Amino acid sequence: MRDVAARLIAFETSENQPAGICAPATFRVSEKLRSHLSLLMGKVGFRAVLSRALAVAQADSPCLCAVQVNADGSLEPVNATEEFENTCQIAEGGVLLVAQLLTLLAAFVGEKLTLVLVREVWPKLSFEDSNFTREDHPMKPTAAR
Amino acid sequence: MAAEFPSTDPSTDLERTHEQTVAMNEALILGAVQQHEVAEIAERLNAQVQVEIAARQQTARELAEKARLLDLSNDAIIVRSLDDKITSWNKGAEKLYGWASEEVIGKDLDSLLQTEFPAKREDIEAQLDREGLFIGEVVQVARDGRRIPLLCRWVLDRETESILTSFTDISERHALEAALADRAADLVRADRSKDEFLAMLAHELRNPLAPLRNAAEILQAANTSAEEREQALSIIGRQIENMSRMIDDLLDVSRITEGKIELRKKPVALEAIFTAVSSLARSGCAARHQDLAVSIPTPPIFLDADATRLEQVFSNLIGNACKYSGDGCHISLSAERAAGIEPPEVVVRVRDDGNGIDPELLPRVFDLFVQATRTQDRAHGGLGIGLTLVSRLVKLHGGSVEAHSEGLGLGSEFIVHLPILREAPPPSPPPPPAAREISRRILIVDDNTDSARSMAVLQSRRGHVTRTAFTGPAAVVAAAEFLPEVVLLDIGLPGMDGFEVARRLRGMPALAGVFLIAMTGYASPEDLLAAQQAGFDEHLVKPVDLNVLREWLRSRV
Repeated sequence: MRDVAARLIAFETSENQPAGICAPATFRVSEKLRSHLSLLMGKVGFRAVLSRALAVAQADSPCLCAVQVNADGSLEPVNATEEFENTCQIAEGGVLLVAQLLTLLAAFVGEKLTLVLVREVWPKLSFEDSNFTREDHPMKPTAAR
Repeated sequence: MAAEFPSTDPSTDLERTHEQTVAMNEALILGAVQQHEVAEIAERLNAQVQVEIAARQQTARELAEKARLLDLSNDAIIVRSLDDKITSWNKGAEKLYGWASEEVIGKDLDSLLQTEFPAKREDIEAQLDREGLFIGEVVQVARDGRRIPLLCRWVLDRETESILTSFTDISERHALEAALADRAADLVRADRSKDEFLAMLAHELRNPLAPLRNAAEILQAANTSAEEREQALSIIGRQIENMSRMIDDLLDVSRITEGKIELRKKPVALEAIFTAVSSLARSGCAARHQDLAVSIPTPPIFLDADATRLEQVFSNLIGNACKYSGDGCHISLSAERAAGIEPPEVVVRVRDDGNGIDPELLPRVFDLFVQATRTQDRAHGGLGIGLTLVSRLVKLHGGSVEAHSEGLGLGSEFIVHLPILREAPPPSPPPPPAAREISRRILIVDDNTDSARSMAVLQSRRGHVTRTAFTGPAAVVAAAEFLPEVVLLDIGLPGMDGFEVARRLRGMPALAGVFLIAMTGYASPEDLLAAQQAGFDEHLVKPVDLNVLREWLRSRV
């Protein structure tokens, strides 16, 4: 899932932002998924999945503590956005967060449907060669990480 | 999860269905997320439980190791509750007391083990309560009734409300302490014996002086009859003989103790030894009207032994029997070949029906300086070394000696075991004929002028020509003038010692072949060697045995 997540963030970065500013790309990936998935699972449902993904990802990337999920399921920095930007660690945290979000979705709705949904959001991207495989068991919680 | 997409057709039903589907999906997702969270918590808890289980297993292993260590201890380690119930009983306790752990757990310790405490039990309990510790020596009774002295340590563990107790068996330490005390008592006794011996030695050496002085007075008196003169001479001879024997015994004990005595062993018939011993003893027995029965073994028994030393052994035993038996008592000397003993041995018995031996004295009768009570002893004289000599000389011959007595007044018996020859030795060649007595020129050198002059008188009477000198330098001068054939030379001389005098005389060509005889009070192997190295031909211990000297003057010069 890291591969897919990294590809989504890279795409959003190249499409809309100058190179090196990663966090907003992560936010845009999250935002696009929210817009699309909220229609299927509701805002509360998406918020729950994203919150869970953030909680799990924070265990591996503490810098994600600077990020919070709003009541509508959108993602935003806790404090100053500039502290969040331009660090590779944060970029890596964004990849982890998106990967964890996709992993949870795959766990809850299945890999095929997750892929369909992602393709619907990013129709220009091809995922044929992506390693959409389970690096971790989808239902396996992160406590053991 | 139903994956339905909103239709562009705004039909109310469809919208409602869509809303319902989204709501269901939302609920399902929420449930899945919660399940995910619960699974994480469960896994975390599981991990904690695993850690805890591992820690408990480690603790259990450590406890098991400690238990095994406790079991390795020879000490009894017991844990009991405050109400005295046994909760732990290690292998050491099992070994020490004889009860297995299963038999005692839950029982009352005080009821199980009878214990003698060094203080009142209440005081001990109070100390334990006050200080949390009690250490002391106790005596406990084991299952088999053994009474065991123990070093006991109690520690009060207030946390677990128990008393940890350990008991160390100190039986061995007690035995060692007792042995040490015995040894100390032995040393005190030995020291006392030594002091008594020194006092006795002074007394015994002084004893002959009075009769000697009296005899000299008698001989000096103008009106002394021939009979009185004969008696005086007899007294002098006897007293000198007694003193010589005493001093010889002392020197013998010293030599044997230092391992310096050398036996001159050769095949000898036991009969010859018995004959010599009985002829010496008869006069003493006769004087006390005692009967001496000598049973000579048949067929003859031969030993590879120093005949003089064995005569000394049996003379001592018969002398003792004679001394410690009253008038009219019976003394016997007998021997028999021990049956069925390999290597073969003879058992010699010296028995009397005299005073007997105090049972308390019997185990120590062969110890040095040990005698019967002073009162009894002083009636008979002696230094208390005779039986020590007997024991050591017999041992030197590879034998053993034991003393028996039923008690005071019931007589005594000494049994000597000696190895014997299996066959009779071939007969020895006849002795050479006695040499004829020839007049010699003899120089007598002694710083004791009386000794020198009396020896000169004796030798003159035997037909020799004599001259005396009383210092070392005077001896050298006298020798150069007198040109003696024989020099009787004392060692401890003023001006120049006897060894140096001997070396000077050996260096004088005019005295080539002179027969040099050392006269000393010392007769250790070192003394003999020193005399030999200084050039002496022979060595005589004072008082000089005149018969030996006469024989040498006949045959050796």
